[in-house]
Amino acid sequence: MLRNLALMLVLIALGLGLSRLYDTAPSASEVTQQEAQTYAQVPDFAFTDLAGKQHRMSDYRGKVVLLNFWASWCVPCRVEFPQFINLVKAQPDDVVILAFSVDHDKAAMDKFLAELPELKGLPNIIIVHDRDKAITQDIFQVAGYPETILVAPDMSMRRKYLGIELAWDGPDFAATLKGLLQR
Amino acid sequence: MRIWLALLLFLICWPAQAAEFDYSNFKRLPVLEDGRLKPLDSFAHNMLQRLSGQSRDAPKWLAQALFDPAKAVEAKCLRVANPHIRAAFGLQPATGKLYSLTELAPGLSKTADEAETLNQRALETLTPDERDLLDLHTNVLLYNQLLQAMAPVLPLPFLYDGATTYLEAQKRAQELVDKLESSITPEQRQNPELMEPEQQNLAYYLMTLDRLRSLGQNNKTLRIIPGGWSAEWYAPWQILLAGQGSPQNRIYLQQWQELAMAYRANDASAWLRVSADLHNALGNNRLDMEVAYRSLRPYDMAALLLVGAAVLAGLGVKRTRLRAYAWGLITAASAVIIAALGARIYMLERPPVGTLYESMLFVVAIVSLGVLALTRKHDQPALLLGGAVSSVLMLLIAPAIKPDAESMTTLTAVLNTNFWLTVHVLCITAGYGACILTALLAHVMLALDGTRYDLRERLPLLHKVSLWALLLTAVGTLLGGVWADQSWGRFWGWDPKENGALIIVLWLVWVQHARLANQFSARTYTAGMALLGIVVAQAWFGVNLLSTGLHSYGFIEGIALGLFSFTAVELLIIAVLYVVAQRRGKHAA
Amino acid sequence: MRSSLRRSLNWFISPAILFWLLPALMLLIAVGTIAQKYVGLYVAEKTYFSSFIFWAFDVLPLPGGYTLLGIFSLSLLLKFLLKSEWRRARAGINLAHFGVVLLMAGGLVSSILAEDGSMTIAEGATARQVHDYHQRDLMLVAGDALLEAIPQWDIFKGSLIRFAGAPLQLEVLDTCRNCNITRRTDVSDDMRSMARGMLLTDNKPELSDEANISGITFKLRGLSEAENGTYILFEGGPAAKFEIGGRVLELAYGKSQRSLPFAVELKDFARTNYAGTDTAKAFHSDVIIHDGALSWPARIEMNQPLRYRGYTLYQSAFIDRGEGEFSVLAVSKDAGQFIPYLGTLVLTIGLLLHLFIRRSGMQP
Repeated sequence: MLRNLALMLVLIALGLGLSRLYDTAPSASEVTQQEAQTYAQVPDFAFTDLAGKQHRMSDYRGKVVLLNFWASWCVPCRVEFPQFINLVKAQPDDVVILAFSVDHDKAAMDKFLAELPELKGLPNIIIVHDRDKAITQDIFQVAGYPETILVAPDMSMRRKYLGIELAWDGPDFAATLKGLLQR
Repeated sequence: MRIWLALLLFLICWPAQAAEFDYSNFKRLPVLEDGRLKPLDSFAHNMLQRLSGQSRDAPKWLAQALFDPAKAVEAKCLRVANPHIRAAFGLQPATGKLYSLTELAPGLSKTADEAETLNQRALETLTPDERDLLDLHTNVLLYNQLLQAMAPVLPLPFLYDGATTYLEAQKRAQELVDKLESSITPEQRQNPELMEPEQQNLAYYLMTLDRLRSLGQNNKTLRIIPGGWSAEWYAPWQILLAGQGSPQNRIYLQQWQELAMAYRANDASAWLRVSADLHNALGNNRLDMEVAYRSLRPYDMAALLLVGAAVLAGLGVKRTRLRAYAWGLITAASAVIIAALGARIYMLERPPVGTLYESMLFVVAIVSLGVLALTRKHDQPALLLGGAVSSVLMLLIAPAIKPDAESMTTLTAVLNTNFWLTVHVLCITAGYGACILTALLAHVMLALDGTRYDLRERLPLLHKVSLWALLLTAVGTLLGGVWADQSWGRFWGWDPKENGALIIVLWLVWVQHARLANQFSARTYTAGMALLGIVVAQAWFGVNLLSTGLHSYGFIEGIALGLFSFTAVELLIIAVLYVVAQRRGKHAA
Repeated sequence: MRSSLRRSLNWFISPAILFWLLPALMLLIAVGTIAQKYVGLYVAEKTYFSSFIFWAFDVLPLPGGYTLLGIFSLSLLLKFLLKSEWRRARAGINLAHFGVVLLMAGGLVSSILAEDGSMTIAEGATARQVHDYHQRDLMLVAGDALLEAIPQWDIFKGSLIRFAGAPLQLEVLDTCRNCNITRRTDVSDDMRSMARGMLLTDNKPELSDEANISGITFKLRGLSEAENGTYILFEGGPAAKFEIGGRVLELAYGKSQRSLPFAVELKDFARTNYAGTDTAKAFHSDVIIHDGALSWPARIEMNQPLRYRGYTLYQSAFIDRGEGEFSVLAVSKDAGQFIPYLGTLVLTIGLLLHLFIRRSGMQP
């Protein structure tokens, strides 16, 4: 009987001791890291700017590129342009904006661009007239405007912004940009 | 509901020709349904089963619906089982009560408003007729989603400027809108009849595009294209209208278009080539295995083997060689079942313990393996026979337990992958299997009791098997407590499923201890073990009927009757066996 | 006399007693399980499992879960202490029996010591209050601070309630576990605030006790004539406010609250669905634990609770209201939590030993 009693007490004491070790230790490692995602590379396509100069997508490796698909008849697209200008002015060495216009009426596009004289002095905003949507639709399958694809310096496409999701010259995008440029 | 009906027949693109194609690649292409990537084969079977109550040639049917909607509206694939609805729609009798969309269209438009109203009401308040009508309308909507799913890449029903598909036409849509806007006068705007024929043509064309788009807006059923910007999969319309297009999935959409064109051009070799390309790009081994699994029907195969085993065992009561063959067949059946369970684990990427159906398959595997172990010396013909028969019965009942058993659903968060849950369910389910084996052995012993066969000689075997049952059910029940404690902080909560498992354990403990204390005779002890079958059935299925608590994930209509009959029949059998054995015992004395 | 006592004891610790005890227990469990469908888990548990007796058909007293399990445990414990011989062949049986004793002991300890409840935290907010699932309190509150709480068992028709920190006297006129709130037709002059418009009557309890809306109707004395009178309070309803000695005191009725010794800040709540559906695949809360000067982050996930200072926090549910996401954490504190684990382990080892060591089969 005594032996049974002793066995019981020893086991319970052991269990109690073990359960004390069970507390979660305060440690930051508890928070699991987000899984690393793999991103697709942006296709290396050629395009011609309004001045007739030839470019390739790969010319912009090493910079953060925003591929913006827009039209002058699309009101939200027009709202974005001043933000792009602010963004490029603030980060002249790091950010390039390739803006593909799907205007069928070139005059309407030119008229809108003329309202933004600052664009002339900003080589990092490149306007392309993609009238037949050979780039917009046939390469990127973009069917709504504006849509903007964020391309990292390593030419990987990070995400697509549908419509106006954020202010391009605001703090949220600045943080995203900082993250991309640090790596 | 009314809008699409009016538009449907007019918006369907030009018909194509029919051909005999090789669907082997097509049916292995991935589609996202119910939160799981599955082969089009499974998708097509689910859909067709839902619409027409059968699923013959499902991939072929799906291809026609997707690629040749003009023919598909003539396909008799919509089942109208309710005679009142058939009468109201003025339908002629048809084989399988199957009708085409065109046949149903007049009746559907007539009842569209009624269906709309029914849709607003709570399902419980509907009469069976009303429910059937609503179901029919819902099914037709679903079918219509399929008919329109590929519309962006199919030929337009109305041509204007050379663009042949919506995808192409939308490139110039804005330009044409501007053109029309600038050319019409205010008077023409007021009264379209005043428009020039050319203007009317253009207006009609733009209207067609607009309506196609509005129909596509909610068309999310056929998720066959991987998103470029997330891990989701999207329907073709979503790629265009929800901004999900990317350079990669543009190519997939293009391939799907080529597939559609090959189908419509009746070009079997192009079809084969494009479907193989798409399969190479998007397919994977899991999908291939699911298609193979579906076509091999492993559980029917196993049931057939077991029937053969039962026949041989029956004939082989006095012949050892036949019994050896029966044993071999049960071995083969067990191997098939275990391989099929393994395939399910691989396809669903989770342990096969989520649904009642799966646990039933697992129990069959345990029981047949147990029978194999107990009869390996071929000296137990009755047990061999009983094992084969009860395994077949369970295999046949399993699909009826849950009609969509083979659709392989996903599990809610609580039941999703967790170590303790998996261990608990596997252990308790193996315990159910061991209990059924115990009951089976007890039945056989009771049936032979009083003949030349000596009950007492077999008791140690029964005791050993019942101890296994006790070990597995007791530990399984407690592991359920461990899981509950890990997941929401209580070890025991008197939940119905927990209680059911506990009753099985207590029953085993009761019968064993009563024998130990000499309160039960050998015969009563055996009868007590035979009753275990009823206890397990009640604890396993009965608690699902109560449908309260955390565990009741497999509620089944109609199971109550089955459970009741099983209990009654089993009670009767055991009572008869017991009384007969009692009499034989007296005669012997 | 002695020998008959000894005989009784021998019977009490022999397997023979199970012959009577286990059928009763199985019947009780079956009845309690079926009853859940009609009266809900909480009531069924209180009636059948956590009770000494229950009344069958209101006339026949039958032993409840406490009685049956009590006898069972005592018999087994005495058997283990007095009659277990340690032979090789008996080792498995003895261990298995001891495992069951431990499980029973775990149940006893938990039913005495364990406290559980839940906390609902909005994203970005910090909380340390845990609400009980069942117990309701009448609470005297000043601002955010809970001054006094009167538990539900002290509140019944006719009971008089006084508070130490305020000159309030309450005479309870009526209580309801699940109140039916209707329009009052017999308004009299002494009715104050909500009581002027609403009447609380007892309603059939919900199947889930948490869903019950409990309330009380009481007469208040000790304040000015204008403030004395009849009041009603119910769960989720507004508190009754008084200004006493220059500070505002509130009386509220609701689920009993306890304070954690640390605070939990919800940084982010996230759920992932199965692709293309609204079925949740998993959800988790990223929290920061503030304990005195110490602050550290942790993640609480489905099936991955956080254990800290004897408390265990589980991801239990979430609420998505218009104003944002709320995470619902279940909180339990149970010093006896380890006992059933130990019992499970011992029982498993015991049964395995019994199966594999003893080869002689059944002994009559």
